[in-house]
Amino acid sequence: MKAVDGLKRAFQDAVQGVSEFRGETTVVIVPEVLREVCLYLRDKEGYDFLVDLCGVDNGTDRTPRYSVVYLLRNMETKDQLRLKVFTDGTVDTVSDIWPTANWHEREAYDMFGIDFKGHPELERLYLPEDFEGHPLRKDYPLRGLNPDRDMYEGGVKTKVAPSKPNTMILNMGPQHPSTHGVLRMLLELEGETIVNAWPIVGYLHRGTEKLAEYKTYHQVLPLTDRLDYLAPPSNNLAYILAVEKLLGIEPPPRGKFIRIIMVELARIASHLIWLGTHAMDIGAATVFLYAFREREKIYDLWEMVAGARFHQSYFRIGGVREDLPEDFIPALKKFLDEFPKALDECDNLLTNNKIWRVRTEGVAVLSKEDAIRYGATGPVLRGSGVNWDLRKAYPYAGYDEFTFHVPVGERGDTFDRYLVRMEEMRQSREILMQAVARLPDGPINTEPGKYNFPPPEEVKGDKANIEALIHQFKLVIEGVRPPKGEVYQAVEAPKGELGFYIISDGEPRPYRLRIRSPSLINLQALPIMIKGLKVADVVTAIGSIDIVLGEVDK
Amino acid sequence: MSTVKVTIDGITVEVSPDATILQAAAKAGVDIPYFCYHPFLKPAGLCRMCLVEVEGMPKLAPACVTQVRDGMVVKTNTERVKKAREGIIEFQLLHHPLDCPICDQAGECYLQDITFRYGKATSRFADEKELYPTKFYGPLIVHEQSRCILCKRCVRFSTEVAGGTEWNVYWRAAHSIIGAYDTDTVANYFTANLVEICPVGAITSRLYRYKTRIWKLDFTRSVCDHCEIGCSLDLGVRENQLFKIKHNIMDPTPWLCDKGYYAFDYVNHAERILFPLKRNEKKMVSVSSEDVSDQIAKALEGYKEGEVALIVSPHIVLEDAAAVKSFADALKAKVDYRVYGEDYLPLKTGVSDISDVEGSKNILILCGDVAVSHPVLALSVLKAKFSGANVAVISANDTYLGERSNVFALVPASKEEAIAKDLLEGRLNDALKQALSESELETLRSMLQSEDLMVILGVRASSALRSLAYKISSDKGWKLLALDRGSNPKGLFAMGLYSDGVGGILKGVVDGKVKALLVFGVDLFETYPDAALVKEALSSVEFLVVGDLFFHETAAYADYFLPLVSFAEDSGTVVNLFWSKRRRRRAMEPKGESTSLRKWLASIADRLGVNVTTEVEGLDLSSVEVKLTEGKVEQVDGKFVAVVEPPFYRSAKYAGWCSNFSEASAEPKVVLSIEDAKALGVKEGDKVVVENSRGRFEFRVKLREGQPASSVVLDCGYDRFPVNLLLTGSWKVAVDLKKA
Repeated sequence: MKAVDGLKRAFQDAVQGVSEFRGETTVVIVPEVLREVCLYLRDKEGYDFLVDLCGVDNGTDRTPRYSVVYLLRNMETKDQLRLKVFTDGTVDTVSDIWPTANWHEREAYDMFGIDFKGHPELERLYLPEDFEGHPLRKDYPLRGLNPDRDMYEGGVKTKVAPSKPNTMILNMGPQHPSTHGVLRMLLELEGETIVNAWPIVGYLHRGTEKLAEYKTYHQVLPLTDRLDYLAPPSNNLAYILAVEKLLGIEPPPRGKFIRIIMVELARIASHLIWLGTHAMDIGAATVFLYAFREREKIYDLWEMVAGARFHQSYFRIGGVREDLPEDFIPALKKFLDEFPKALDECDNLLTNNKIWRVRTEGVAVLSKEDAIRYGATGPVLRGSGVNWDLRKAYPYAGYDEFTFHVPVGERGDTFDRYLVRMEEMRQSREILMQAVARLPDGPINTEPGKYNFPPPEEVKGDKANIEALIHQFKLVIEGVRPPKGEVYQAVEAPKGELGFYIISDGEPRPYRLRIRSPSLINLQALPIMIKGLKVADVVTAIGSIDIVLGEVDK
Repeated sequence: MSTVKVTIDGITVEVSPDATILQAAAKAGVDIPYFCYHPFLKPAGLCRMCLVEVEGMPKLAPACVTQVRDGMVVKTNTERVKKAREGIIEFQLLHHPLDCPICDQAGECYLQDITFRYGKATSRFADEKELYPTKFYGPLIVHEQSRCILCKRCVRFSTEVAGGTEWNVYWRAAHSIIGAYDTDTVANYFTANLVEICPVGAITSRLYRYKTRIWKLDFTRSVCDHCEIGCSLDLGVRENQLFKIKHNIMDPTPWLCDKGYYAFDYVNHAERILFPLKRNEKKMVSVSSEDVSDQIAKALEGYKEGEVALIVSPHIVLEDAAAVKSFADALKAKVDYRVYGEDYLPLKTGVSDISDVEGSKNILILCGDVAVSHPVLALSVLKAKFSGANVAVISANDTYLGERSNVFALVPASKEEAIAKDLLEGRLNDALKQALSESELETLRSMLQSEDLMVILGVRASSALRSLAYKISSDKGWKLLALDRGSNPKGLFAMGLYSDGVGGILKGVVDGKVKALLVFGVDLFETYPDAALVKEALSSVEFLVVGDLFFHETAAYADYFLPLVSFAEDSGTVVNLFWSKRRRRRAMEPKGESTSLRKWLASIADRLGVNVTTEVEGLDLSSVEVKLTEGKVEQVDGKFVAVVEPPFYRSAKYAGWCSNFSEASAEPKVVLSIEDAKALGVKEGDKVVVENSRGRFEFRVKLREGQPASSVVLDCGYDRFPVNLLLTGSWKVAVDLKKA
């Protein structure tokens, strides 16, 4: 790889190792040259996008104990590079090189206790200020240090440093109808104008990454449902694809198509909620009802396939759980026929509506450069004028067999993001039409019994056989054992780039499961988007970023 | 030493020329699946799971039995090998019942693991499975022939290691079944290994059946405390209950005995006393831990030098022993651990490892039933025999090793010691000549003249005999192994926890010299060979403190009862048969308020203003002095002379509280010669009355071929059956028998 060769030439012995696994390149460097390497990669090799930054605990018996992993991306060449440093607890910050690293480093400090030298404000991201301990460390017990105490009675952050004198600090949330969940904001106001803003997250933090280390790969799947809980199939897909990449398998064609159907329905469903709630926040209550009416139809479709309206966990390692029922395709066709009309209704209510235009045009602008620097992805990135969609950049799960456009905005304001999402819904409908037309026959699982459970009639009942029973037993009790290695697999979720970074040590449970959450990273850009705006625009901005707190807080 | 090069899956390793492909693969880090191979049994090559492709061989070769050649190239992941593996698995699974949900082996089952890794996930079998009924072979093992994959590991263990037992294959080919042909109970002291060896759930422990799943247990490595060999054990605990014992490492041997494997559930017994008790006239009432220490200390303050004595179990750990010694020294109290009435002390003889036994060319076993007192040692003796050694057992009672040895004489109990003395001095006693054939005598003579002879003295051997053996073996260059009772006698001896014997202490109580007695970890009525003396002493002692797990007969006389921890709830160091230190580790939290002996002594000592130490680092085993005694060997005469011993399944500590284990010996028996039985007019299974001036008991008759006339063996160790009343300080006693 060109960048790796360049690194080796420029830094020689500071490059401790280069390895490749499943097509991904990992470079280990000494922590002393971290900043120089990052600047080199950003400025000389074009790695302008920091996808993810996370910490890993390699075990109490290892020295150095921690590693910090940086996933870098060159948006132009589409190359990706993983950078790793090993440390006993202190690393230089890169938050001035890539501003998106700010919250990533705060999270690594929160969860591992790694100190990032030079970070402007290194404080905990998710956990309360006076929390003791760093939960993702391997010696921190799963049930916490005080499992008998059921309510945290510690302190929450109340003081921030105002940037100007004579300003008012207003607390917004976490109980608030328009923060779209338990988001808390501290706003520094001068009159009604926002001078500064501090989003405080973690009110829905459930420790998904920690829990995943104690569950087999199958058992982790339902945890992923509850990240972006408005589009569960999308999270399922991201996780399952990561595990399949680790194992080196993929589902048969019919399995792939079924997955894409479920995921594109998720995209439409997620955008419908965004549309309904965003419009309602700004004042258009009717749109909320129209959007939810359509979303109900999608719930019915999901229930037909997976048995659940909401948290399906329908995908499996190597395929899907069951084949589509007979009446599904006709029902889907009916939905796809009705959908454009419903969308047009909402469109007509909003797009050329004067109030809507005034409330959204020029509001919460995120420039193209800032979008890239702050690691924004999804409609937020595209609304700011960057033509970047993972389905086109790194086609996964069979998306390369579909024809669709990727809408891109110009000015990066709320209105552009609105237009992008509206068009995305139409494009998703396009994909679904193609999927229905070309749905192949055949098996829905690769190697049933080895990665996914055997058919239930072979396990129990008259036609049961011992082989299937043994495989079922081993899969449930022990689980799948992937080879040792690490992978990163991301999908274009409705909210942006949802990535799973899994480190496997050959055991049936992931050694480290890292979730690159789009809502969290997009939210980091909120303060620069609302500076100078009025209090009322905060709600508009939050709505246009489209966050889900389940994904923000994990 | 020459080596050859073998390449397996591209990895080249150097191995010795008589290695098998499987061993070379293990060295190369390549996994080859197998069912019937076991690292400590001879390879059999009958499951065919280990078939691999060898360049130059037209057919696939079984890796476990195929010897390597220089330059051999082996491949284990070709299509042929994969198909072969799938085929073998398919055949094994054809008639395999769908028992996974109820099978105890699930989670550690070779068949499950290998099927998941190498087999197909579905079946082509369309017929009915041929299934067999479950057979409960007694209280210890359960045999399910349906699950058996006929790897014959259990049969190979029985023949190659255990010297042949009733366990074998019957019928043949597709009708082969494994089991015991003519008995419904299999209790041959080593059934534990059958359970552990069986790769599937065909042989399972009845004690563990349906209790829990193997992956729910947390295993802690510790050391067994039934005998002084101290085999490594892994204790499986869940929610602070001890569920299962496993023997995962070869320490000191790959095998375990039934005591270690089954006799542990007393730890969970509901009748364990978990709180301190104090006497309130005829009742015992509970008292808090602080109060009980206060009260005991207060009572002990009133006694002068020499008026307090301690009797401790020979199973306590060194840390406890250190506390006992310092406590006793502070109170100038006598201590002794020889609760079985031994007049002997341990001998340090230079046998430092079990391989010394296994490598001996001649082994002479005297005065003890080794398979009952030190079972795993018996397997090592058999290992020596299978390597060509001569094994001679000359004993008044032997239930296992003798019938598997070249020379076996059951000698009269009254003459056992004299015969042993004569043998050591090189003479063949007349009584011995009567019991052996000419060729056996010849073998015995050559053994006594050989340079490589190991003499093993069992637990019945007296102090005089041991001293004699020590001197003679030093002179003649023989190896000597003197067996002791308990699991830490050598350690307690090294720490000095002895005086003039437990009998001496009890007599001191009766004479009024000892006024306060502290008894820890032992029921003297069960262990001491003179129940009448025990009763007299305990009834007359002024102050009695008893510490143990259960409220046994000795505790019934106590003024205070302290709950102790079992071996599973305490860490500590013990010294094993070969004078090396082993470490016991705590596998579960102490139940209730049970506390270790040293902590009780520390809290009592604290209130007395004395210090106890638990320091054992300074114990130097290399400088232990050997204490020999002069004296006459034991001689008992009478119409009938009986040896009183517990049978194997009553000989473990707390055996009575271990349900399945003790059921394997359900009724007390008397072993009788055929002539004596005829004279008394009784047959096998009849009842006889055994009596002397001190008591009378009924036993069931068991006839034994070769049992000498006028010599019997009486079982002890049963609940509510105090045979020790017949005894007067020795385990041999004169009795009279008559038909019941």
